[in-house]
Amino acid sequence: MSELSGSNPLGSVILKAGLIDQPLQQAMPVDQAVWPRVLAEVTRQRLTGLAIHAVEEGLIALRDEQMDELLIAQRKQMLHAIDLERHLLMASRTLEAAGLDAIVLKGTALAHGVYPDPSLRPFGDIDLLVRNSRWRDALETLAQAGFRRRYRDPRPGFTARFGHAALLTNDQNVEIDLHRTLVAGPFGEWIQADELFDRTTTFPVGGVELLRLDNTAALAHACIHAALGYRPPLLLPVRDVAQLCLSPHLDWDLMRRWSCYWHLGVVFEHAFKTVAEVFGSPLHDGSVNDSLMENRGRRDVLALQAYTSQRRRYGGKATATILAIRGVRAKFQYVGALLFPDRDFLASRAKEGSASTYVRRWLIPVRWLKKRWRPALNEHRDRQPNPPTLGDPK
Amino acid sequence: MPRTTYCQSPLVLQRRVGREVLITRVDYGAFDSLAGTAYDAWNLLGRAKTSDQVVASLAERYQVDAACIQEDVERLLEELVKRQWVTSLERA
Repeated sequence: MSELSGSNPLGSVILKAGLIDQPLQQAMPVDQAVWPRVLAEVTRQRLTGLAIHAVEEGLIALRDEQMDELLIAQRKQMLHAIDLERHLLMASRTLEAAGLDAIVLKGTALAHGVYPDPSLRPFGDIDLLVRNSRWRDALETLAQAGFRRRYRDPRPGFTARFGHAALLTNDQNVEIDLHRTLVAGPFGEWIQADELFDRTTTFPVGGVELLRLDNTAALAHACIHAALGYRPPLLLPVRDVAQLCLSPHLDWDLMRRWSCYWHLGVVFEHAFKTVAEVFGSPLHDGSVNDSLMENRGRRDVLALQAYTSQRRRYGGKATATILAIRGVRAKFQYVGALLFPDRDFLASRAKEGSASTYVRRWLIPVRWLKKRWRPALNEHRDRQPNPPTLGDPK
Repeated sequence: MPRTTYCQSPLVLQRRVGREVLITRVDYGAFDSLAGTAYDAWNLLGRAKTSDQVVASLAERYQVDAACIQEDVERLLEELVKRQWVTSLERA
């Protein structure tokens, strides 16, 4: 069991630090026996800044050596964050020179634009959203600045049509996620990401004003990340949702429209439910939740389950994406690219020491189906009456 | 008589780690670290201040005579300006 989750007292105290008043009788000590695991988890979940804040607020009592170790972990994360910002400024300068607008998403944008102190919000990469029509141009421009794609497309143009982002890295291993939409899968198909360019504001980094999503659009994105990102959800995205829920200038009417037109009602509900569970109570008026859910359909619920249930591991997202893609021709293009990728893609996906063949690739969906149907078949078999035996009294 | 005010440079990228601040710039290949009283002085420079104002604030915080720390504070400000972490402005 994790030493840190939203449901245990320590995780809850850290997660609420600097956001919600926490009347405690006395600071919570951390047993030395569990400290190494707590520190590892705080570091993995990028909660070092919030943990230090909780100590400074007198909510957690750490021994000197525990505090030293926490500061070392935070130092490492902060050095990485400002190094990333240095690369972000260089990348934005390059994109701007090529006439390309880019919105900074998640980490950097939230750290500077939403959190009261950027030290509370570490991040591990740079996320940029560019307009769909300019996404390939942005890819080429960043390639000239030394950022190359880490993964190949199954077929040329696949990500530009069906993907959500390309992972780029340079020779210093700095990672940029170049987005064309906010998330992979069916919701990525439904979201009209270019409209987000009308919902931006700016924030300063190193003397430069960069674009970020305004608080409403950032809340929508944080909900998407918290609900659809990792399973079980990481705590920092949950804190992002909470931080944005309490931020000013939220346009709930717009959230309602996105719930309907972009099918995001189920995503918002899932994210707010997670926040309420972790924080012990909802952070906004409950009627807001009801109105966001007014237009949800069965298709939206199934799409959500493709991310949040076991189906995620067995091709749920891919099958839900097929249903969400508009047009039969496009659906065939998507399936065709996944089943018949080019040889270079196959070679890049082959495990070390094993050959890459189409047959191996086609066996993947067969395994998905077996794993997805096995529990149902078992359940069906269990429901059958036991056959009579010779010893049966009847 | 012109007064010099000091302020953190907007070009600085910075992060706080407890009572330490890490600072750098896009064109600076390394990081500098300010801790202890230098950290306190740095925080005061989030808004433009004269050296006298910085000295007075630190003297009050550490309960010492302003004259005792005047020289050290001025040397620190000079160093921060030299490294371009802080901008100085002459005001009439």
